[in-house]
Amino acid sequence: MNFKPEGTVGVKPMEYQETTEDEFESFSYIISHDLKSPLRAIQILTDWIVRENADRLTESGKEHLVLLQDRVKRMDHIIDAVSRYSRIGRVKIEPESVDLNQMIDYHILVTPVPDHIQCIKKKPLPVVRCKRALVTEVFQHLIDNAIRYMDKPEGRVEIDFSEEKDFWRFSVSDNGPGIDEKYHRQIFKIFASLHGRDDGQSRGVGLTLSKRIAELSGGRIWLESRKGEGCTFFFTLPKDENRN
Amino acid sequence: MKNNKPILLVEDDSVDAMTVRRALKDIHVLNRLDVVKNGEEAIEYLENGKESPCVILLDINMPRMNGIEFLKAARAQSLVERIPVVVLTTSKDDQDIIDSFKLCVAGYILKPVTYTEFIETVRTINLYWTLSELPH
Repeated sequence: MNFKPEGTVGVKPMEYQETTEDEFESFSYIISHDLKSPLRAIQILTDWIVRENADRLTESGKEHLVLLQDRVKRMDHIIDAVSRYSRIGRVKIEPESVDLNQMIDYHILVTPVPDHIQCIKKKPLPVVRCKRALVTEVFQHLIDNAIRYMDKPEGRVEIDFSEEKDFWRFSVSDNGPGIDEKYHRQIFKIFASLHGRDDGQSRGVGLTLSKRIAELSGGRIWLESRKGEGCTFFFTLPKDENRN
Repeated sequence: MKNNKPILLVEDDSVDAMTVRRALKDIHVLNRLDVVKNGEEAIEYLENGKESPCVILLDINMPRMNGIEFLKAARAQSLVERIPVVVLTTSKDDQDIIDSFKLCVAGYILKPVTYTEFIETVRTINLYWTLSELPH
């Protein structure tokens, strides 16, 4: 777990006993470091070319450089997503007692929620033993998605839960555009979600991460929705706090 | 910066070094920028340099001696007791962040992807270390 490539790709201490686990660790380290550095260099050098040659570049030249920077940003986003995905579950986080009310209230407080959208808890949420950072991330993704895609003049995002025998079931529902049933499985898949959008805010990356977190925590995630009728995302967490 | 001592940048990537140099110039920071390419060179610089830097900007992922190894060696030799070390890296790795703070870094900042953001980052570092007192 502690192996860090010493500098350039593939250079490592001779005495190091490599295992599959460590190989994976160094792989994700390479993704986040060695792929990002040249990418940042491309972005910054392009920026300087544009700044210093604005009067000499042709219109098509400028357009190509804008497209180039746009693709670099997209690549950066993909690297972040893949790197984040590979890190979930690899970092040791101890379960702790978490007041979900505080967690959700804080997230809503620091999130720029447009005036026409109301974010509410349907009833006071429980205090659960869980890995705080991971569960926070799931709620963040679900709430942020509900806000981002809201298309109604009076938007409503509701957070609710039910207590089952062995697990908690949480839900985040909205009255937004809804999701066609044929996409219900696809939106959780990483590569499906990484394609397409240029704004770096693909809905699916967050959902893919949420699915991984839910499953690594011993729960699951799913949605109920029909196109045009809003949607509700559910996820469960086992009550057995010592799991994982 | 609070004083006119040089800034030491420990960075192996020449474009990143150019970026820091250019950003400092663009925001009119007058401190000299000294650049070394890895932890070993940084140790040598601190051992032999006539003037100690006001701030060290430290990359993590470098050949020969990386940033964490540099911090361990420099702390062991008491080379950076009076110098704030600000990590400037691409690494979002939790272990790197934990290791850095265990070794008493003054900050841990991710290198931005765009030059505009890079300028803002360097501006913030400069503002902070202009406001904060520094040991003589």
